[in-house]
Amino acid sequence: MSLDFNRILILMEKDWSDIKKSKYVVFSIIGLPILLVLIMPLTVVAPFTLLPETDAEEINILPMDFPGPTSNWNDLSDQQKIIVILVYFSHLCFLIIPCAIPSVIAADSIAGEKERKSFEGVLATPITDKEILIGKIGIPFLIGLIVTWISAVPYSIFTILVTYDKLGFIVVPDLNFILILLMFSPAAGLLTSICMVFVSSRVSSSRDAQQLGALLVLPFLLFIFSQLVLAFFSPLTILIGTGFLLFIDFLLFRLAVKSFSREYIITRLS
Amino acid sequence: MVFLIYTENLTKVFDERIIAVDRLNLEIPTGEIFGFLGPNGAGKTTTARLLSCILEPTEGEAVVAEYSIRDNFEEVRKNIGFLGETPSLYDRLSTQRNLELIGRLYGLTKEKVRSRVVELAKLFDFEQYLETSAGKLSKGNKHKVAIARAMIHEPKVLFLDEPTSSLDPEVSSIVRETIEQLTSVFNCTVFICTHNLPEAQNLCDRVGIINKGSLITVGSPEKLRNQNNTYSKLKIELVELNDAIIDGVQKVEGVIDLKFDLKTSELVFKTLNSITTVPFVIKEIVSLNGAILSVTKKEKSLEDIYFELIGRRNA
Repeated sequence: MSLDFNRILILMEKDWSDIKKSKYVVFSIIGLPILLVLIMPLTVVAPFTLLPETDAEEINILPMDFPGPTSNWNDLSDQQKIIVILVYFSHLCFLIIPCAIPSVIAADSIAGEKERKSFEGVLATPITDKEILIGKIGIPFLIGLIVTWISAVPYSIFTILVTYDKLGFIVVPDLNFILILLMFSPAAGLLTSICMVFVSSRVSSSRDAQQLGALLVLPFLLFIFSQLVLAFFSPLTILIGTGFLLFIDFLLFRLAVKSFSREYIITRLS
Repeated sequence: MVFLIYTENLTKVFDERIIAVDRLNLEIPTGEIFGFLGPNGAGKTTTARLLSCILEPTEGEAVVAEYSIRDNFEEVRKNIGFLGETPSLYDRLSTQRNLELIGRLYGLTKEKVRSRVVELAKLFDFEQYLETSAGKLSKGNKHKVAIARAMIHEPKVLFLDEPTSSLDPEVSSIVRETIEQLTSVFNCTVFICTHNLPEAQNLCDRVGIINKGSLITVGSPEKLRNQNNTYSKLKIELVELNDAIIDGVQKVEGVIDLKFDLKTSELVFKTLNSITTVPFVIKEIVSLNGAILSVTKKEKSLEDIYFELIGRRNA
């Protein structure tokens, strides 16, 4: 059956109108990225810019043949190398932001509607189950992604301010960082959105969905993403990592479509 | 005759054991207001949800607005309006936005939906609340908006679950008038699930009574009254009532279940044949020097029939 994208967009428009009127959600959307883009460079990178060069030599545990993510890697001092690596580890926040924001929004998407008894009106319209699911996944995913991309600007500026003095060159944005933003972040955000909408469609309240998300789904996803940080260092590994995430996205979406039904939502979640 | 709702052995079983609707057979023609009556848990809402393609039938078939609910559920949904037990509005959105978004999900253009919103707001008298958040509306106004939303795309069939349950008499009357207008002017078929028996009697062309998932009877309120008219109820008002008259009337052949009130001097009784019984009762009272002020035959209401049928079933 073909999809009616107009109906999907209307559903997303409805969800967006609803979300932006919730102070709690808006605060989460704005507050979390601000904290992360400030905290990561400040707590992870900044302390190492203050170390004397000799201390840096002692704690440099990188293997000698580590290729390094920048073209001038071999010309860098040990301290500069550590700073560059730590900047790359800080990029993890561009997997956290596109996951954390959709998890807040998506948890409420179906369970919240059921709780507020607002969903029956939509379920009686011609919109199909698949269109509902895509619309419900779409809005948390897009909000998460847009916020991630916007956050990249202050993050880059702040990282440059913290590191330029020691590095003498601009470490972000580089090709790897742009690929992370354009490929990794969307794939990770999509994964979280699908997971959380799936959870939201199987529980009876948004609080249950949030608790399940916070205790099971998010820690699991963040564990996977933390392993993927190693893929940040070259365009090829970023592509492979993104492919891996998109494959999981596809499988999960298939599962979500298969298990999503109006009947379940109306009859089981009360 | 074109039936806009037609069901054949429509059955819904939950969890493979709870029979919510059991082999339901209905034929509802175009332009009819059909009332679906029954106690809580009888299967009214499940039936409305099945016919609105919110639930899938376990067995049987139904055709709504000329489309099968099994094969053409998208077309069915396009041609029906549905209002559940709760208004299902988005509290944080304005009344106008609530109506517009649902209207557009039904495929209306932005221009068309705007004109329909204005039209319906005028009809239901909530123009002043179009910009108000739905959450801030009174219960009655929420219900009005929800009914307007179900009608926004001018559906061929309208399913209303307890449409006037939380409305004040004035708004209830507007809703009833609108439902009548929908059928008379737009030839819309209306399926109403209700507990409000006097309303069903006045509004519905036909009613169906359902209990424990099974349809007990279907017919016009008039037909049901005649079908179930096993006895008549009579009230006699006297100038003064005394024990002798009560004893006398009690002994008249055909008088059943005699009740009396000495303060109001009233006698109330049932009889299987009022034509033969009443003259003998009057004769008896007059012979005992009683003075009659009035004799009233009380017609059975739909409510009486409903309780009789449901009671019989439960017994």
